[in-house]
Amino acid sequence: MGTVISVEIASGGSPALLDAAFAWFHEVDARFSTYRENSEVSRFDRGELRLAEASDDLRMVLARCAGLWGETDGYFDGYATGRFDPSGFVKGWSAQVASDRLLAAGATDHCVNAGGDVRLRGHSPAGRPWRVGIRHPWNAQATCHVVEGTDLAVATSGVYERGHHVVDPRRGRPAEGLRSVTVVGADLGVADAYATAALAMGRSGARWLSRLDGYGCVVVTDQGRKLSSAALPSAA
Amino acid sequence: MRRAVLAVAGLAAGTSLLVVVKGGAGAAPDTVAAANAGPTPSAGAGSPDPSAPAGKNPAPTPSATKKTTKPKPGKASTAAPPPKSNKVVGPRVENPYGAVQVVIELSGTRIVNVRTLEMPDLEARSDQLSALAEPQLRDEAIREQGANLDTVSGATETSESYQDSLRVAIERMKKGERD
Amino acid sequence: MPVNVPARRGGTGRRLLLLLFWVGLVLAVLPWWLTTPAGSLADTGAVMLAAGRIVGLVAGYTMLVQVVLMSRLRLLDRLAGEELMTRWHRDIGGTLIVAVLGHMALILVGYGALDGFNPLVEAKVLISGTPDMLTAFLSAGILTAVGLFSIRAVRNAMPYELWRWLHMSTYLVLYLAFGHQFSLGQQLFRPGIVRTGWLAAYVGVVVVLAYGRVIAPLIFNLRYALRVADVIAESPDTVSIYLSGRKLDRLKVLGGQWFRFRFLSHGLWWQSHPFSVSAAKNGRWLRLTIKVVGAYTRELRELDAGARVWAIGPRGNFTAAQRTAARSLLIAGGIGITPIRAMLEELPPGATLIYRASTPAEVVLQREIDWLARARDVDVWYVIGARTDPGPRQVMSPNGLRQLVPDLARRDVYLCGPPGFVEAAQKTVRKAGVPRSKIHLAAFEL
Repeated sequence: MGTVISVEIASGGSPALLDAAFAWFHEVDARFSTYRENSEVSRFDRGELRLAEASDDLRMVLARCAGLWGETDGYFDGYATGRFDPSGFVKGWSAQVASDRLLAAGATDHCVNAGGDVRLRGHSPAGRPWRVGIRHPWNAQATCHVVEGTDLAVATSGVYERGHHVVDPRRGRPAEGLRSVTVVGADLGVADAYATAALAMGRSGARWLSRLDGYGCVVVTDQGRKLSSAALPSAA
Repeated sequence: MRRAVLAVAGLAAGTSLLVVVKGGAGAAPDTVAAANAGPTPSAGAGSPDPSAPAGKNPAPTPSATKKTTKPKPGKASTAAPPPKSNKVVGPRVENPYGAVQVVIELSGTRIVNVRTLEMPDLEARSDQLSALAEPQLRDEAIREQGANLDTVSGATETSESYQDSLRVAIERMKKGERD
Repeated sequence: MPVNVPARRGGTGRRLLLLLFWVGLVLAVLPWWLTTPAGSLADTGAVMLAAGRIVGLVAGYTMLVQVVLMSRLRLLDRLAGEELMTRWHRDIGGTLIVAVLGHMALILVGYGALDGFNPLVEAKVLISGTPDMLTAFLSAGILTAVGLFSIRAVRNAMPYELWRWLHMSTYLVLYLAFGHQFSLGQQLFRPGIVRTGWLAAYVGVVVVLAYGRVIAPLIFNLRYALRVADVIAESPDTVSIYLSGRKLDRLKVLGGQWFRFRFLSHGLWWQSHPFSVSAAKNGRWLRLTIKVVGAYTRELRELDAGARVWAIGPRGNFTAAQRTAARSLLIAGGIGITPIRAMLEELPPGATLIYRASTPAEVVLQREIDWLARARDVDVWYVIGARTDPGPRQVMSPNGLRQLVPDLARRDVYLCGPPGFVEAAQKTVRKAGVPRSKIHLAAFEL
């Protein structure tokens, strides 16, 4: 609920492929939406579903979340809100899978954007690498940074208004210091989780991100500083 | 000596009082009960669904079209006499990081642009923060940049304050009010 | 002798200044109130920062007030009197230091909580990373040192001139703290009406200071060009110095007021000392009557006629204008007779004077006092002897005073003399039923 998804296929596309992609997203929503009482993840969380009876996808997501929990020192925490909520990973992962399937089906130039998590491959209809803007944390109509590429995952977690927090799992209180975290790399699910974790870390998140292998970052602090990896495929 | 003690006590008490009164449950902006913002020009896809938490993104629900679309102008019926200006300013909605105020720019009765007027308060010591980041990261002041974009990363239009201000601005626009 | 009773000065000036003070304080803190969204102080760090900012605004405002109080502006002296303002200055001083230190501590704790450092580490980060923070810390340090020096015990242990110069480092405090207020102060760093207002306040304070301490004295001395006219011995250890000058008929000074004098002659020019005038203004000369107690005053006896004198004043509220009743009781101890002798010319008739001296030789200006007693209908009591002698002891007791002056409780009481004498006399007079508001003390610079 509440996420906007757009899929743009520049070449090798067809209505059937688009339908398949959205059918996949519906399936993910039905299975993983914590807002649906009867979704698999909700039933699992309530104990109505045992792990052995869970679908492959759910078990895989559980395992990945556990791994990410370790990788991020507990800052990516599927249980941070008390209930199991893998949304910080699932959104990116589902888009990654959609992109992989599109690629496998022959759509080599496409851009999938699920609620701000972007997986792009190949070139845009204009014939150049896809250009992704990062939303400006304060001005919804503007962007503050541009990343471009031909095989890239871009995941952004942001707090654009105080009413929406990311909880620091160690202090149990809203994290402070970072306004928006964008992680760029190869796997969108991982990037999504890393971005969420870094946001929960607060100020030290930038430091943690800068030490990751294989992933670059663009971080905007509460004070309006933009910190970005030097090696990012950024563009003006 | 006694007067000095009294003065210090007064200062402490006064400061505490101010902080307590200001810090207590403040007036939160009126929450919009699931009201859609109507036809909104957006840089991304079609009509966004409000009240999506920005931090932990929930499971995706497809609610959009299959291609990136250009901004769609909204239609409004004006019963009022022809407006003199072409702007409607929404109310200023506060959130603890500052306030958001939306301005709708019109051409006749079509919405051609939606802008935000305010940026939340920044602190003066932004320079000092960079000392805490890793030297490997480039550090610069944030500014608006980017043209010829294919897509935008980061939740769009989920800001409640934004939607509150926008909703009222659209209602006013429909009534024929202009600023 | 011209009869020149000055008009009474009431308490409205004082009340006006107090009102201005509180209004200014509210205006200083108001921007914080208006720009902080309600409910935004969500955690300890934010609360500490908010408190630190409020206290910082109060401290900055108080600092300016302190400087203005000591600016020696004639207008302020007319409104409240310098003695009162000096007393306020002393009272506020301690609070200011507490406010500055409190501001520092709260901000360090607040930002420390936000950044995840303890306050000491946060201090290091701020000093090394943020401009104007080093000077701000220095400023706080100097202010604290000034505060320590102002503790009575410490102050009395050093020569007054040295203490005064050390105290002047408060100007440095103001200067050093200025930067961080305007580059980092949450309410001040953004251009706008608040920032402009504070800048204007600083400019105003500097102007007031420059006028009160530099320009006004310059104008005074250039206009009146005081010189030593004559030095007369009144008694073996007391000397009267007559000062002449230009346009002295325009010099407004009330009996009881004093100047800080700097005699521009060899050996004396590097010191300045406060002395009261010992006669009311007469348009021809000013007279100081000084008791010789040390090297400096001994040198004064050798002053040559024609020596230039640099005077800062007139200052002081110990005057007939402060009276609240028609009749007064004047109690002079030793050389304290000096300002009182001048006031005798200006008080309404019917006053009573008690002149305490340890020996007959100590009594000075007696012929003038007797003359004035007749001309101005003053009862004069010469009470000679040590404090413990029966005569003085009896007179300087509540009962004794009431016997001498039956309507004592309804009179203004003016006290002048050595500090110990004034303190004891004040207690006695209070015990005799005189309310505090009717007791006037002569106080030189504190």
